[in-house]
Amino acid sequence: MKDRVRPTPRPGMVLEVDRSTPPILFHHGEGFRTEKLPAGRSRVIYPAEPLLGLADPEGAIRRALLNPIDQDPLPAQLRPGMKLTIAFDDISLPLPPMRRPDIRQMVIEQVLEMAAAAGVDDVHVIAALALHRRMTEAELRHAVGDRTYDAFAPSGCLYNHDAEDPDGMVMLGTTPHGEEVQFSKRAADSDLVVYVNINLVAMDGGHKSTATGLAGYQGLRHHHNVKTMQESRSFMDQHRSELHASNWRMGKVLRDAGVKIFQIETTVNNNTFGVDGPLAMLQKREWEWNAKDRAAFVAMTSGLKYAPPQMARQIFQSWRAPYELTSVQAGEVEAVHKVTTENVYAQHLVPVEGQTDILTMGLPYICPYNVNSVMNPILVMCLGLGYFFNLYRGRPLVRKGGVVIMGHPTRWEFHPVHHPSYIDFFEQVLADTTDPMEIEAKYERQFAEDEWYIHLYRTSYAYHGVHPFYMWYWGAHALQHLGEVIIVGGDTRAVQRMGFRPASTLQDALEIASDTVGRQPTVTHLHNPPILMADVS
Amino acid sequence: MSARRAISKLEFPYRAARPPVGVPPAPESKKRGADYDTDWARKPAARAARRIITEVVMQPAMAALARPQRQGLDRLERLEGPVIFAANHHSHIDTPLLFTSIPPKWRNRLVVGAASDYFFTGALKSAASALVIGAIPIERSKVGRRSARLAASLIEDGWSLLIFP
Repeated sequence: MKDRVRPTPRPGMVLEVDRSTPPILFHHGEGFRTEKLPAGRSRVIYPAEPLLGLADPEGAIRRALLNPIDQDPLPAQLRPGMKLTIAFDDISLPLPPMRRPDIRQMVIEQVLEMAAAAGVDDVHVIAALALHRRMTEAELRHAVGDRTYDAFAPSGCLYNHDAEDPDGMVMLGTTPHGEEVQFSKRAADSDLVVYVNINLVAMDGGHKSTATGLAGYQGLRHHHNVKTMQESRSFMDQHRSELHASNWRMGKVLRDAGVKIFQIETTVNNNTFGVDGPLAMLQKREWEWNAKDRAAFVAMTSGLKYAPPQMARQIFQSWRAPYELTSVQAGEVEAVHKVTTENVYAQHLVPVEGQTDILTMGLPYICPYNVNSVMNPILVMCLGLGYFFNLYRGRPLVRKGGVVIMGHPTRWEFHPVHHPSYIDFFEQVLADTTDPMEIEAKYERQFAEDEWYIHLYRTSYAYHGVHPFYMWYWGAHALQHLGEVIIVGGDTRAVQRMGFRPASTLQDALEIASDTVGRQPTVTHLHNPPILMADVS
Repeated sequence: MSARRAISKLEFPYRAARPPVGVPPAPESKKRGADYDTDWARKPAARAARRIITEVVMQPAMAALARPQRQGLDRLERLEGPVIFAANHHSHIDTPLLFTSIPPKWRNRLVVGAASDYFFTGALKSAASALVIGAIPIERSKVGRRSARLAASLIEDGWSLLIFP
């Protein structure tokens, strides 16, 4: 047993940069940079320290299942002869994947024990991956545990959701806004759907779990589009997110169609790199690095400089985050999600005063769509302009017409199995235009309905043909808002293909940015990951 | 350029960064007393070192100092699983005496409940206690949940416990 006691976690903070401020850590793909920010007009937003995890996660899960919010206890909803479907978040959560036992495993095992005790024998366990790639056996085992996998997978009762299975999907109706609600037939036919979620960021969970996770292209296109994303300010703030509004409308259609959902939502702290161990310095503030941290960092960055990219990728992709469960709540979807969101905010929100001219960010090696895979240029765009840019509540961190400077190697490199349609999107679509509206109108349907991509999605481990479009749309709000996007240290051709400006150093990037924001701009650096969300007043 | 000047020109991360003005320093993580982390002392390397210290230093020292008579060891033979050894206590020599008297089958996976306000007061003393006798800190000034939980979880993990109630 580990008997270490952590000091009470400190909240996030904003550091005003002066001449004595040390160079600041920037993630840079499978590497790092330390950058000096202009004194007197820069600030750095640091995330809160990891909240303490629950002392007894198993007990907390059991209590949540037995005392749900606005629903009967789970055992009271289980009976012999019923159809039970357990759906769970896929490989995109959490990031990086967490150490064993995965939270999904802990929850699913307790749900299955209750189902077995109630005599339920028609149980399906489904990875709710929408149009993401299928999970491999090893990934499924990691998520649900060997016991569940061995009990259900051989008989075909544990599997990946297939949104293109003509016999496996069903239309349940339309919302008052004309949005079609497409859903997994097995889930729709079930007497109870138990959804097992991991809420890493405020965007996750709620009706999005089922209305998106168990849907297909016919349903998703109604909210995974440019207009919705541009009207989501931001999609991390449920109350100002059109993405969520649409999913909530779809949730109502599901409910009216008789789909009964028992939602189990969990939150984790942001203990991404560990409070001790080889990467601990990545979640410390620079002036708190001790000699061991600095020596480890220098050794690591020196080694990474000479390591082939593939080896560096393998090293980082093998990292398993020591996340700890901070809350678990179950019951009615909306009531549960309200509590979950508060718990996510407790970890992530950092109050920030006012906007900035330039927002800088160092992009790490991982995003939701390249777990055990390659971070291609489209995913770099999606992580920076989609996820990081949208990690705000209130107003964007950067002012309208401002500049985002992000650091990442941005190699012209794709995983041929996972991202086949990305390659064509990058080489054909972006060569023609980078305007999200034009891309959507001109190319989306062609990629979405391409038989070859559908075949690869269903039988191989490929993201759906339409997925790169969604990644581009994810950044549509930022593209509309910003005056310039600059990528530091990226492959020049790849950066230019996306319509961004390449720069070899941060100083060069600041120089380039001065064309847009003047000679003395204010600069804000998002010290992320571990994840933070700016509460901008 | 002299070596000293070259070093003075080094920047973070090659040298420590100065804490920013106005930012409170990080609270010290509690590393002493009942909060001392002894996890490292149960790792294979520390256990191997403890075994060597026991056999090379402690056993000859005890033989020279106390010449103990040991009776009833046969009653341990049929025991399965972890054991709680509860001993009476007269002096500090009791711990090494017991430690060297308990058969290796138990000793090699043994932790010793030690007073946190005595054995875990300084960095060196804490490390030595954890390494040499596999001590874990026990609060004796109050009824602490933490000490009890730690002991219980170690027993669950198969560790035997030596206490002086």
